[in-house]
Amino acid sequence: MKIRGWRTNLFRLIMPLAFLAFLLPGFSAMAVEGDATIGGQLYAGSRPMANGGAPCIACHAHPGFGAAGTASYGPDLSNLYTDYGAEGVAGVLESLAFPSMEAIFASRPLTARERLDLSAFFAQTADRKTAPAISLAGLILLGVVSVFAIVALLGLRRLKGVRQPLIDQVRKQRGM
Amino acid sequence: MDIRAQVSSVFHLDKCIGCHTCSIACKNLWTDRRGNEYMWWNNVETKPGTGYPTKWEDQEKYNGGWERVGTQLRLKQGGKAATIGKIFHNPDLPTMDDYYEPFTYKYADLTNAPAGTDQPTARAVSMVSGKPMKIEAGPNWDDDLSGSTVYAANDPGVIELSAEQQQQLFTIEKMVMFHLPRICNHCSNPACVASCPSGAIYKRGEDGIVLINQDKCRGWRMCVSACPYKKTYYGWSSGKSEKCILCFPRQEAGEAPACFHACVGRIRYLGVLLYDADKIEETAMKADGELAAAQREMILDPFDPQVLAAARKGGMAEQIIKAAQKSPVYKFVKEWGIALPLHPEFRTLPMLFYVPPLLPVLSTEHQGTQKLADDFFTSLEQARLPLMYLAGLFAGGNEEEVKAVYRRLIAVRIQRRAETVGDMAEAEVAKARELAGLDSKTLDAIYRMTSLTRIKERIQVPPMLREQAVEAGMDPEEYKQSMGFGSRKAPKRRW
Repeated sequence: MKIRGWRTNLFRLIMPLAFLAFLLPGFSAMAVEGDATIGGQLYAGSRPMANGGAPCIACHAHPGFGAAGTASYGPDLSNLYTDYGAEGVAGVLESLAFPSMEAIFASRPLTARERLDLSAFFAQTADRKTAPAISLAGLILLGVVSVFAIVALLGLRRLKGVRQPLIDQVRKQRGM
Repeated sequence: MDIRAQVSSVFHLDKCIGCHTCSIACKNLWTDRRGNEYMWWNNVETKPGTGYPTKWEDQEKYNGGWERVGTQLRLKQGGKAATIGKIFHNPDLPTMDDYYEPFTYKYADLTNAPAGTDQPTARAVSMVSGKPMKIEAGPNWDDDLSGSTVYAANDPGVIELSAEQQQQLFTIEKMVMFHLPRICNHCSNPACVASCPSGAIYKRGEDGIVLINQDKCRGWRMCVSACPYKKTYYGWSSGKSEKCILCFPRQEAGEAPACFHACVGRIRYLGVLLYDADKIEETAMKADGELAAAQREMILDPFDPQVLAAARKGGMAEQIIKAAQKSPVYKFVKEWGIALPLHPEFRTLPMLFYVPPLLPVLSTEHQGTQKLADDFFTSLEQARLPLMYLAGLFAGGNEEEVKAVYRRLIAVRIQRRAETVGDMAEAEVAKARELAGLDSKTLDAIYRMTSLTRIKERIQVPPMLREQAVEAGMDPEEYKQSMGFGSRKAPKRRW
């Protein structure tokens, strides 16, 4: 009874451990690498930061978000991963020790998960080309110019005199 | 039937001497303000000629009036979307040069110039820039066919004519012209009202006068391009558009409009017409040539009991009905059929009618020695002023309409000649009457109305019944207290 009891206890002890061991590889892999997709969502602000921090896209430019995503309040992050490497990025994300960022993130730090996801995202997108050629300001300028061009084009037909051409026509006929 | 009253008028072109007294009377009364210098609510044009503004009749250029699109009537300048699309750059407006650059003279130089060997002169200066200018155009620059090689030759109606007919018009020493005084037509289907993005233009329910609310007007100028007669104008100082108001303040006081009152040739007749507002759309959809007749059809007999019953049911006042029964305009347009609308093909159903000018038709090469009624009617086709030209002006190209009018006008003359000169055979007079389709009494009535009537007979200003009109909208006591002298507010910029 006793032996059997011990065996049962052992079994009871081993089974969860075995189960844990079975789960562990996946778990640890996630913990280490983070999810680049979730990182992307965090970056772009479609998934909110757990502590209420602002999404990176609000201030930084990074390829892959089109011209509307090329904010220029902070530095361009296109080469972040290439320059700093995985550890560098992780370090930066942990402290965010830049004067302008501190003000935002000191009271709203990124969680460990978020840092991992963002790192994964930066790692995954490291080979993307640098920020698009047309900045937002350039795009707005282009828009304004083209609107003016359209208006000017439409306005070409505007207010063409009637009387003067009649006079000119007669003068021409008479060779004046 | 939806019966409405319209203060309507007839201009008898045979009687117009082109003195411009009407224009001046109007100018002094209404448009002598700054920024309104170029504005002529009433102007007198010489026909053939391009008019004011230049070539206003050419809707290929100005895109005024209505056009038929399938079974729909549409503004030629485009619907609501098109209006918004060009709200900042309406391409269909006349330029300042097409009206004319307003000018004055430096009269002070005549007396204040320093002593010298030259006579002092008053130089022309622009009222826009204040700088000396060369005057090259004016509201009646082509008056009496001056500059006809430019202006008369480019009349949109003349361009339509064959080379032979044009020759006929411009043969030296036989050159022909007549005067065409124009005011706002106070149309039944006004394009200006339909085009206004601010909803500032309206047609007064009780008398059909088309007005621009100066408080609501935002100066978009869509009415300027939409009106095919170019009878709304933009006031450069007030920033609002303005147009002929048919002197409604004078009419409300029982007076004739200023241009009517001042008319030297007594060519102007005014009176109330009753018409069926339900028929407006159907009428405006008719083919070009049928429009004049269809519009006549729309105007109702003020003695017809059915019409009267419907009018009373619609709440029309007895005084208005009485005025409609005395209206000389009804006689001209409907009973006698000798007055036609100007350019009915613009489809705005203008409520100002013209008796076409007969004079050029009668002066054939026989130098006034015509003997027979037959002669008159055959000469009609060879008239110096081609029928086609007149049909283009007054009947949407339908020569039969114009011919019918001339037959009647000629019959009046033949009958009068038989009576006063006595050299016409009775058979000729009878034949003329038969061709005209009018009896001798009617012909006499036309003669009387066109030559002998006094102002009170020619101009029947209806009782305007402002009290009732006010009562319909608000308490008259409150109106009196709150409106008083009207609700004119000064614009932020200046008057």
